[in-house]
Amino acid sequence: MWQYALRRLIAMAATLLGVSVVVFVMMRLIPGTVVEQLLGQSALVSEETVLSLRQFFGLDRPWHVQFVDWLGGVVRGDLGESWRSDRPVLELILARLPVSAELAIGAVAWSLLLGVPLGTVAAIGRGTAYDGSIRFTATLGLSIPAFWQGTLLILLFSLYLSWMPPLDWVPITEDLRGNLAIMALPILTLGTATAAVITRMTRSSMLEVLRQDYIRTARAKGADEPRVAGRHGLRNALIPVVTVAGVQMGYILGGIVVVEDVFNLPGVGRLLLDAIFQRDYPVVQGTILVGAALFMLLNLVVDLLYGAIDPRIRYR
Amino acid sequence: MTARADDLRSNRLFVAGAVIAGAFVAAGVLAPLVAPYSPIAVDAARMFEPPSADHLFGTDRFGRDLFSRVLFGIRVSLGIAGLSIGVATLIGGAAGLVAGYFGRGLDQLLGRLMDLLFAFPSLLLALGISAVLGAGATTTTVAIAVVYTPFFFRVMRAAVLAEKNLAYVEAAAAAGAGPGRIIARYLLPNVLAPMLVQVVVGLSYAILIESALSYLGVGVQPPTPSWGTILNEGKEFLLISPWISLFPGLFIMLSVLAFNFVSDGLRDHLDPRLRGA
Repeated sequence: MWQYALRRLIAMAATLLGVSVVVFVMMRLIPGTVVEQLLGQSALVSEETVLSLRQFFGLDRPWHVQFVDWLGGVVRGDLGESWRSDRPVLELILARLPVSAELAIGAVAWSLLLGVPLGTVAAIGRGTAYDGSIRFTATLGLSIPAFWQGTLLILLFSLYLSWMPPLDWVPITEDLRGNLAIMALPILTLGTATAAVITRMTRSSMLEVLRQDYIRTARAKGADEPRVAGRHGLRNALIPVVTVAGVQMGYILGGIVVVEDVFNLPGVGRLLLDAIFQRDYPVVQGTILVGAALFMLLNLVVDLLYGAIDPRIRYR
Repeated sequence: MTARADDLRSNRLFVAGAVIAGAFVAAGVLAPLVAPYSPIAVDAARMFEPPSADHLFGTDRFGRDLFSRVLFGIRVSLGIAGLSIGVATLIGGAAGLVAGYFGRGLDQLLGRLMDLLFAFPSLLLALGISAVLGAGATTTTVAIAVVYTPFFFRVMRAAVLAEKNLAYVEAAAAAGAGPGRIIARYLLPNVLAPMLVQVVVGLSYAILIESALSYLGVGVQPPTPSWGTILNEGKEFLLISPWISLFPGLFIMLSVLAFNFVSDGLRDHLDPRLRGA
């Protein structure tokens, strides 16, 4: 398994190199350069100032030299510096990471806790009213945009229940209650679509498994229904569910931006959005690169999880 | 064939989805006739009015009629979704067809390229593209098309791989049909069904991405009314005029729900293993 993990890591490094080329090229496609962006339309700037600024940002060198230089920094953990605050991009990201990480982990956790049992119940009671209402609710959960769901929750709690979350974010380690008061609604919102996807996937995967011969054998042996469904059914049905959970990481990482905006949370998503509005391109570039790297890493972890769930899977 | 068509018509959710989706398209096409006001007409005397008989969905901070804005928003939101998914289907589908049919180096090259795009969380990629090209309807369309091209590439490639070694394709090749004829006459008709399901799925996601980008302020720009843009404008006034934020969101959810019902129905219908599930 370690050999497999290592090989996947190497393949991932190759993709990541390609991704960094894409990100680098994208940022070079922006009309004008840093210099023009910073100076704006000012006509009073002399030719020399422009030249020296271009030199300062290293823009007078050929682009492949710039790329190698930038990539060299990235490999050493140097994502460049923000144009607005002059602080290292990595430092800015790390400072806001706890908020986003809690949001993502919480969302995945609650979507699994809700989705797997609901999907199982729907599959076992296939065709019943339970099944129907679970399927309908799941499709509804898939269709409600996160920013609108968040908006509705804010309205419900502030206008009708007269409850407002505290304004300042506190780490979970410092004040559990205060932290949860702020994070509960955002986590709920971010996890809704994923919970819906996991419910649907668990149901269809479970239906597939329940048709297999070994389920009939288990029943024939006299195993009771909970044992058939849990030990023989669910365990085998979970593989596709885990795959879907991995793919959903992409949704979660993007959804963070939306949910942090709705609930005004000081996370990495907010950092990216502010950077886009302020044309702080090193921050945009760094955040998107880190997001893609995380996405790939999470998918690798998910692939390695298969082995833990299904002992038949051996990595080669 | 008639039996299968009957199946689909007896699927109540599919029918409901198709009817809602059809109603949306019709309302969007007829918006200039149906809408009581211009979507951008300002009326300083009637700002922030709650829903009433005059203004079904109320008015916004410029006194603009929200019902008319939401109706015209159908054109923008569904238009961008349809156009971007159309482009992604054409480019991704063509690339997937070629990669799946010819295989080898071409497949490797196209596959790696698509993998690169797939490595990004989709909304982050769309945000990056908006940052580069500048916010606006065209950028939003391009961003969604780029994000979904690899998706259709994979669907098409997998469908072609599943079909191309079947006896009927080999028979056609043995009978002297060239690659062009095999693709157009035999492969395409047989891979269209799985593509169709994914196109409808793609439409629902495209509506969600467009509205998310516009809600965040990096998509369609005011005064053009897209559902996300109206929600963006309602953000500041949420607690004093919640109706601004209610109706466009409801329309987004209903349209996405409709497309989800349609794609679920089509999938069950086309996949015999799921029939009656």
